[in-house]
Amino acid sequence: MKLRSFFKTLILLSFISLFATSYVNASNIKGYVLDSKSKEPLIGAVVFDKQDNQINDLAGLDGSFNIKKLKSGRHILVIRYIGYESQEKEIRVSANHPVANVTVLMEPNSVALAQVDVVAEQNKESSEYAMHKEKSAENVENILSAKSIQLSPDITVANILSRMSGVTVQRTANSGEGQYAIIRGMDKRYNYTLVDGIKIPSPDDKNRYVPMDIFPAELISNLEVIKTLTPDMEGDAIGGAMNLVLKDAPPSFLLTADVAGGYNQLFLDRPFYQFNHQAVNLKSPAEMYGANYPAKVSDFTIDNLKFKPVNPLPNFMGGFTIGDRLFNKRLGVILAVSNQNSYSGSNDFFATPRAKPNENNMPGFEYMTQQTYSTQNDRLGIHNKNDFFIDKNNRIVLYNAYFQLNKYISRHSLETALGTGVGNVITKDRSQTQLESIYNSTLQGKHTLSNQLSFDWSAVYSKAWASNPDDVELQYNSTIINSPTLQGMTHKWSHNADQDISGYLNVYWNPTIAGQEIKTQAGGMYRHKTRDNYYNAYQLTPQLINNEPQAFTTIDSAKFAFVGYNANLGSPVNQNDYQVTENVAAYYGEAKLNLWKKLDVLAGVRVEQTNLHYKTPMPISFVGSSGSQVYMDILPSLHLRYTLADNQNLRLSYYSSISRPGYFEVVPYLISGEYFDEEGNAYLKRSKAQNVDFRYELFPHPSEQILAGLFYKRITDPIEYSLVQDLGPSSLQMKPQNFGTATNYGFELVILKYFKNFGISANYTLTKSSITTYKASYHRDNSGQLITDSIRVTRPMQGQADNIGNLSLLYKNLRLGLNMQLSFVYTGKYISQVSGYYGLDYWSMPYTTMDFSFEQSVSKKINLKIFGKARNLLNSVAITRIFRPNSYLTGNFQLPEQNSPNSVVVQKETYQPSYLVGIRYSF
Amino acid sequence: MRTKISLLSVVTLLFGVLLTSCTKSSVVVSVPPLVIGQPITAGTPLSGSVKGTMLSGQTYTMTGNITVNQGDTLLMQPGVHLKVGRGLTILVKGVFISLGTKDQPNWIGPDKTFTKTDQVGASIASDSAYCGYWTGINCEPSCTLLDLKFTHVEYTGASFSANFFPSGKAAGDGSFGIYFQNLNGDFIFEDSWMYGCIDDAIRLSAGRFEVMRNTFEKCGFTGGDGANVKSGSVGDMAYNLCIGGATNMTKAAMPTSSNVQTNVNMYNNTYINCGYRQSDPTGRGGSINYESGARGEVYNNLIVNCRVGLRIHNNPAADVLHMSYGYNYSYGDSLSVCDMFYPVPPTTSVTVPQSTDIPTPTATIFPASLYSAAYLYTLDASGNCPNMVTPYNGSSFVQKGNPLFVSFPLPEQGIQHLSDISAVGSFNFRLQANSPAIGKGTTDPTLIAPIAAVHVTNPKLKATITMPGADMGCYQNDGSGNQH
Repeated sequence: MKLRSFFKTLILLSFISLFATSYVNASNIKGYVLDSKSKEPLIGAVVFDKQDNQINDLAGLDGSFNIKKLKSGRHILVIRYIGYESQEKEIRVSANHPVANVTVLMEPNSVALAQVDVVAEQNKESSEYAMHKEKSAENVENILSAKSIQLSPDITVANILSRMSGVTVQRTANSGEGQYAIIRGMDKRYNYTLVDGIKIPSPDDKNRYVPMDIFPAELISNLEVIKTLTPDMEGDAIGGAMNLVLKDAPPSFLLTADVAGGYNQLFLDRPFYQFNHQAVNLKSPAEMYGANYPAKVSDFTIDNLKFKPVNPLPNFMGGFTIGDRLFNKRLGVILAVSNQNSYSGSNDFFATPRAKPNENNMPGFEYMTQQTYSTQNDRLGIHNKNDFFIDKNNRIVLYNAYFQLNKYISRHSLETALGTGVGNVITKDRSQTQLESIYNSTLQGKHTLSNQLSFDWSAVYSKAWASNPDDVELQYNSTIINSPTLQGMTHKWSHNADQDISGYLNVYWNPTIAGQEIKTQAGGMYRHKTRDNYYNAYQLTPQLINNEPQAFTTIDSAKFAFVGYNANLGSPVNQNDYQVTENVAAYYGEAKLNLWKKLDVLAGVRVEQTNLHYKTPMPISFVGSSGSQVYMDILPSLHLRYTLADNQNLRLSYYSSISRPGYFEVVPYLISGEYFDEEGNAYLKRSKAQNVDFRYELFPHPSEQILAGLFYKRITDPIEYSLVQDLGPSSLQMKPQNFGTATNYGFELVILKYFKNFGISANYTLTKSSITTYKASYHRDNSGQLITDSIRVTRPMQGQADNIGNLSLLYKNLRLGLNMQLSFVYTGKYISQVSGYYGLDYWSMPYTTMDFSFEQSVSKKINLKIFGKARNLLNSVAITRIFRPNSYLTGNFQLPEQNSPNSVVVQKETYQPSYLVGIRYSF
Repeated sequence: MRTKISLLSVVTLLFGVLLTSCTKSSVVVSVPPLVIGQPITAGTPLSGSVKGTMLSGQTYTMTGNITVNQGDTLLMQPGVHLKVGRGLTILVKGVFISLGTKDQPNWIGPDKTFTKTDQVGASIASDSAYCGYWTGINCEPSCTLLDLKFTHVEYTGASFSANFFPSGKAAGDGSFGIYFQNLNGDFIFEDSWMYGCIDDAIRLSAGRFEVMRNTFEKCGFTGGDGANVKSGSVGDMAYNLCIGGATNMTKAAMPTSSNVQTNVNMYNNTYINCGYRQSDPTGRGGSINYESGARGEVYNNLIVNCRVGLRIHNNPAADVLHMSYGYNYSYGDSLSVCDMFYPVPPTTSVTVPQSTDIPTPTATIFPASLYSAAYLYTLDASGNCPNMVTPYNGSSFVQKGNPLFVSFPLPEQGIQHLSDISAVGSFNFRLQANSPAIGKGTTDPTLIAPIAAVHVTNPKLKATITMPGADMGCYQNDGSGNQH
């Protein structure tokens, strides 16, 4: 509470300072310092009176300066900015005209960078560059710059994404950290992730989408969310593509380093439950001794089931970037390393309704669950980029990136049976070790053959791994009258790897025909993907002691056995052990031309040929032990940009795209779930979409923007999970299926406005989608029999929130060297989990977070800054509801946390705020 | 301007050409190679796809997994011994029939001999009954008939091996003794014996069935039921002798959904010492259990020293509005047994004490305010039964109404735990002529009658249904009922 009032004061102070700076003095000179070409503000440019350099100002966020309290008369202003030619301006101030306005256009200082002209690129890490790229791009995209990322309260890319227009981020239950991005209401499956424009594989065991929490924010130069696809981009995104642009080699020697420490408030209130993850066996007995090895109980460690309550060490975050240009600036090298080790967790309440509801699809509950998660995240990112100019026309780039996220998750779960007081309790202790990594290596060449003809190529090797060694769970049950009885123990091992070998070629030909330059581009791409999975689970049964079930006291004294022949093999053959090879060949052609000076047209088409084969270790007697899917897609697109005025654009984009099913979804697996069997679908088709975007852009000032857009998507064969009765009418299976046609449309608004020391960045997205699927309905028929049949239900698509918004208040005081940012993210309610039954969808309720960050220069002599990030200051609680009448408010079956007669709270997760303070040093 | 337009038309043309070019797509899903069922011959080991008749008096040995293909029939004549190798599976996609007789029963069991340790108090940990030797008879949803008469099925419960398992199971999953899963198929299990298994002895995920006059011994290790039927199962469980089961011996539920409601009538079964190996301390029942939308009629059952009596589950609730039961006979050696004739927490239930039950549940012990159907069957707005049976004083029932078995002294002798007796052995659970359980049941067809859902009409194959009998339990004084 104290904290809240502190920040209230802070906001107030920011407003006051804003007001103060706008105050008009009797005689002063106001103006802007801008780049002469791009008209972008040169933030921090020094403006002073030549006669008295104490009379000075620094250009603010909008490039503005204000020199106050000047004597009437002639003044010579000196304007200086690094990398630009200094200027002097003579201005007269008189009592009659107390305010003089002046705009200073600065010319870049070309001498320093004359060696290689390409080096004289703009600073790609600046917000201005980001905005410039948004403005000049052919397609619709949103870009966040490295500077914004550095200043933001976020330390992972997933969380940064939540600040971008039209993006919702799904949180993990175990830490509350963002993980997957939903773009414009389109679920994670409809989006893809690029690193420097190259699509990367996913460490997910079944799907294509990439967990965005694996990327530390620090390595990112720009984060782009691309919402319309051009023909040169891979065509399998319906929501959009996320492109992580990593840092380029600097124009001259660069060294920055930062180190920070922090803490999660959660662990001031309760301990962190730690297990010894060094003790985890990385390989299953079957992997160590052969598939036919009969495992012994002694082959399994129980050390990962011993949880020690500790006060965790402070969170650590550190990293450095070092780079230079060598050999006459021909060779650029950059190496960036970032490491984050943090301790987070959550305290959760769950009331999980039975998969099959009560009569008339009313939710039924057996247990309510209290869970505590303690999660250690160890994140490492290494990035290296080398570019070499062979000559003016030929350039080679080699870049390597490695990302690793190791999670050590312990969970303590207490399930209390409803209506028995606090009597019947199931205790489950679980520890998980989740190791994920992604590696990418790209060799790229850019060659200019003539003024009109150039080409580039890329040879890419990338690989993603995930390994979950010894995911172990122990269960023991107790009742009102019985002490705990041992139930069993499960040890699971799974791992998967996904490897891509790809080649890209793009040819650019810019002929001038009839005085009109036409930019044409054609190219192709081929990717060979191999993916394999391993899964094995061992079930251990408690021994009977003296012909009675075994009481549980400690894990050390628990006695287990394998019961029944073959039980000690674990799950020797499993459809989870599938292998996939996928070859995608794509080629495209596009042309860009300018018509009537005002209209930019980009038209083209992309063709993608997909060839997927899967193989499971299932016996040949199994239908679909292997199979394939081959298909081709032709994806045309057209992008129009009409320049209304210098600072106004209208854009109209059309593109056609697809979304391929997850790798595992097309494997016709059948796995017993807790309530439903889960089934794959060999005939699952890719989703196809027609996408139209319309956007109006206004750049009132180079550092300000207003973007307003409409989008409409028509998705054929969207993929959703639904219940089917494939094994005869008796059984129900959960199965991914194509469901007719879905629509998704919405409105987006982005506003960026800077005052001198103060800025507001806001975006809002309204989305509406609809999809019609079959749902099971459990009710009585005319004869009084309780039966289940199917009904068609129309609902929003999973993950689509009607309203999402972001608001950031920025304060930058160049004199003080202070940057502050207060950020809010609002996510409206959306379906987080679709139920197979009518009315029982899980709705994630509106969620607002507030985060704060600051950066303060310590000294002007050495470039040293203190920074801090505080996240989740409102301690926002994530609530999930089922919208059915709630009979659980009172009575014998009362559930806690309920407050509405019209909906049932089924999940409530609290994560607590976390804080980070550090120092950043730049050479 | 003209060039611009012609350029545009070139682009448009390019589009057109590409759009009209062929889009080929294909999906390939591997299918099993066609294997014709091979006729079997005596003396030749069985393996692979088989069909035909096993001849009377012969012994057949399975050296590999066998499959009865869809459209094929495998039939055992009376007096056939089918020996099954370790870990092997009988997979039925067609029809499997075993026509044992009282004089010439059939055997389906291990290819090696186990010494049965059925003596009182033998260690369960080293009991061969729980060795889980083979994986049982597994029917695919295509199996239209599984018909076992006078057949011993023994020592099932192995985990499925790497390359052979039925639909709905995976390699490494534990097995049931019999697994049937065709809503429109018939399953007949008559006059047969089920001895020793790890999980359920019989699991129907759906189907029409008769489970009649069988003996179940040592079913389930630390969990598992005798006959456990799920969503869309319809039939009768009657005249079964059930002893020493881990949990329930006859159970009806509808945990998933189906367009047929689970409907099971259970009558004239005898339950001895069931429910004591269940590792969940809530017990989950220990004789008869109805839950999650299942319905049925329960009469004339004799329940002796079971951990829990008839359990009409409150959550997920049975279809209480369509449950009818009464004339059930309970006996307990100790207070802890008698206190659970009508299950109370930790085993939750809404079983309404019926005035026809023996011993009579008097209004003094069971006041209507807490034990009437009006109270217990109250459904809340979500369809739950929040008012469950609350603890009562069962002390007046202790050792009352000894049913006087021919050879099974009560209170039970020479035991430390009720789990120490879990097989018939030399006991005889017929009723003595002067048993108080004789004639106390009902034969009123308006109360209890078989559902007789099975469609098979062939006189040699059809189910033989014994009507409800007046003597409590599975043995009738007139010699009808269970023939073992």
